[in-house]
Amino acid sequence: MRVLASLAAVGCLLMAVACGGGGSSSSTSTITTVGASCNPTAITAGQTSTCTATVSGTGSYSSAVSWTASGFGTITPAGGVFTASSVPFTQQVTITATSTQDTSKIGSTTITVAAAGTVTGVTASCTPGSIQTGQLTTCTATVQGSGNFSPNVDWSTSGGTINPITGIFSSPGAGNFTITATSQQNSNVTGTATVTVATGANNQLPIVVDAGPAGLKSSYVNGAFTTITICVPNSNSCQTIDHVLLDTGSIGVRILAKAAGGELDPAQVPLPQQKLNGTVVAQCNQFVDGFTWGSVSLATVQLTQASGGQAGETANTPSGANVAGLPMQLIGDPTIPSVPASCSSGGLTNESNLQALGANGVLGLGTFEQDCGPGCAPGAGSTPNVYYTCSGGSCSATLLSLPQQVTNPDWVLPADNNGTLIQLPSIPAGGTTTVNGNLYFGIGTQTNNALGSATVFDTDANAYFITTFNGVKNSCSYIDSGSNAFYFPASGYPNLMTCASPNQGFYCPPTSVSPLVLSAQNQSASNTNGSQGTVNFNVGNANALFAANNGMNAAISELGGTNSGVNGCGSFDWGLSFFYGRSVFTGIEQRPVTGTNFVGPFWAY
Amino acid sequence: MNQPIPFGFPNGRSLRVLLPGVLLALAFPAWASLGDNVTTVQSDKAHMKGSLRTTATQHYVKHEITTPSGQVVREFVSSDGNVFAVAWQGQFQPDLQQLLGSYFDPIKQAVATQQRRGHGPVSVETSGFVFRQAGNARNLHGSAYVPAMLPQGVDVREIQ
Repeated sequence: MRVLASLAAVGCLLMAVACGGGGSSSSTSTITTVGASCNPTAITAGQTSTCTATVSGTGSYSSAVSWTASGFGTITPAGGVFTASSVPFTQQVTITATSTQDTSKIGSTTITVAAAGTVTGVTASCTPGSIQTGQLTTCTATVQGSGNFSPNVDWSTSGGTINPITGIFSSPGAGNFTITATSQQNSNVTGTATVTVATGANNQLPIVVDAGPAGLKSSYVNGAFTTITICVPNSNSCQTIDHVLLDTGSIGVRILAKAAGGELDPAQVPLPQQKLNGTVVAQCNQFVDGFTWGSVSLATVQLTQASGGQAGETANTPSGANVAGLPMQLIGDPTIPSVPASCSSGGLTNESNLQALGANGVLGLGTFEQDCGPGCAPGAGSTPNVYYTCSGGSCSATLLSLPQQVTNPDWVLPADNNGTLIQLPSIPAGGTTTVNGNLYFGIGTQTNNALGSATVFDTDANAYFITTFNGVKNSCSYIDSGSNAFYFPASGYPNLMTCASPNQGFYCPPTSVSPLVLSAQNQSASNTNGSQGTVNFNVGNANALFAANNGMNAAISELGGTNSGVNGCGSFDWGLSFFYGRSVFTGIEQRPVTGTNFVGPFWAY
Repeated sequence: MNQPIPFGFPNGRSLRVLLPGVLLALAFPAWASLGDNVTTVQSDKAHMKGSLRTTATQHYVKHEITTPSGQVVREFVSSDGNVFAVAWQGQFQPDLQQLLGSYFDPIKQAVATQQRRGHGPVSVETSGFVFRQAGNARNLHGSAYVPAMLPQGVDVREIQ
């Protein structure tokens, strides 16, 4: 019969009769063996190991034992709980259980007592160290010490919330917060880091889709317009400009001068001009359907206004620039020479006026940092007809360094500078007169611009991804809020015929089958992140859509038009029709989205 | 399916123009505008500082010039020596006036009179010409052709 001594010892307290130790029973029972074991068998100073004895015998013998240890700690004589004391180096301790009935019967085992390490310090850091309300930062700790010390810490904070295990911190309020990492082994040893939480700027820019600016003779359809404020750099000389076209297909701020039919008045806002070696810089900016000509001017651009304790988003001097202000284009600037032949002979319509531009300016928020980039900067293989220096009444093409080029205003923001989110509501089939939505600066930088469940489509170096329609792969496809329809090659799809003049750029399927219910498959550019997804969309008869509601509908989701369908580089242009009812993100090149593996350039929705 | 010239090329006059392609820098072949005959137009050496590649198909010869900045311009020449199509791709707008020749003004006019109601890629089709241009901030690609001059058997999707 074998009885666990620890259990028997408890039994002895309750039922003294059943246990040995006196009376006639002692003469009729014997102990044969005593065994001992401890768990765990390896501990460090201050830790405990619990030992149990196994007693065998005959008759009604006693299972009780008493415990002793050979040193380096203490053991409770009845309970068998060994507590290690401090040791200079690893020691073997012999634990002995002696039968209380027959002290000649003993069992023994060994415990290894290791030298305990010493924690000498903890350092903590949080990356990033400055965040906005609603953003996350991750804190990490390094524990210093000697010997066999614990590297583990517990996290705590003076405000906000931190996960005690993972060290991920966030705060709904602004302030400086002290983050503390406390050694689990020695709570007297701590390390701290400071996280600065700033109230996020007001990153919300209202959008209106309507018929366009005052004075526009031919109503705009599917134009997403914003209102921004242009100021002389770092001054209070400002002018608010309405109906600036929001364009994810171009880069930079372009404002139409008053002299060209726009609003910006040099008498009110005398913007300084960009200079190269003392000479005024001008630009011939080629859009896909025409060009704008004007000076490169410098401005502080208030993209959003301060609101409820939040600062506004203000775009200013790019890093590396030696003059104050964001380089932008002042379209139709009357102070520079007229359009050079090398500009006008290259392109199509001169859009440097209100009727051709259809807007008081363009807010270009595409995937690039500058509008032209290295192709126009010193070191380029040739000098393209993009930037010019003007003197003596004429202008000649020049290269221009990156910080001097017309620059993406989101890219220069102090925060919220990795891209944008555009949200427009769904609209009624057939169209509507006015739509209100919002643009949010930043992606994953505030609570209102999280990627959420959006699919991220990495683009190639030209900001293209791939759209397959009717079995034809279009490898030069893109998302463009500045295009006013779905523009795509029909690729033989039935009933996708173009309209009669003058609407021949649009599709006019027969009204009997209109709208056509279509779908296309999007996928990331080749050799990128491999996302894919199907988009369902409708294309109606453009003539009928334009005529509906007495021609008052400025927002039409079923508007489609023709596009280049050549082999190799066909284009599906997901214009503003695509944006209704969606959250569409534009990720700027080389800028990551905190907390994800995504880095621009990308489109996401 | 592309094959080197001069195999199967029936027009000796054009051959004479195309062969000096091997002497790129000095003897550039004539660079024609849309609708012109390659033997009668001024060359565009000044505009095209790049490398030339010439390939022939069953129906036409394609001259392709790539500039150091990666700009590509292509000219499609039929067997009678006429440029029936041009195409381009790259970061910058090529000189359309040079490329489109006498078609430049009519095409520009046609684009300007379209009811576009906003911005977007350009597509103009008339009985006389077809013009398309698409692209975004750092890349433009487009093509133009004259339907009446298309050689038999040419798929317009090859004009790129």
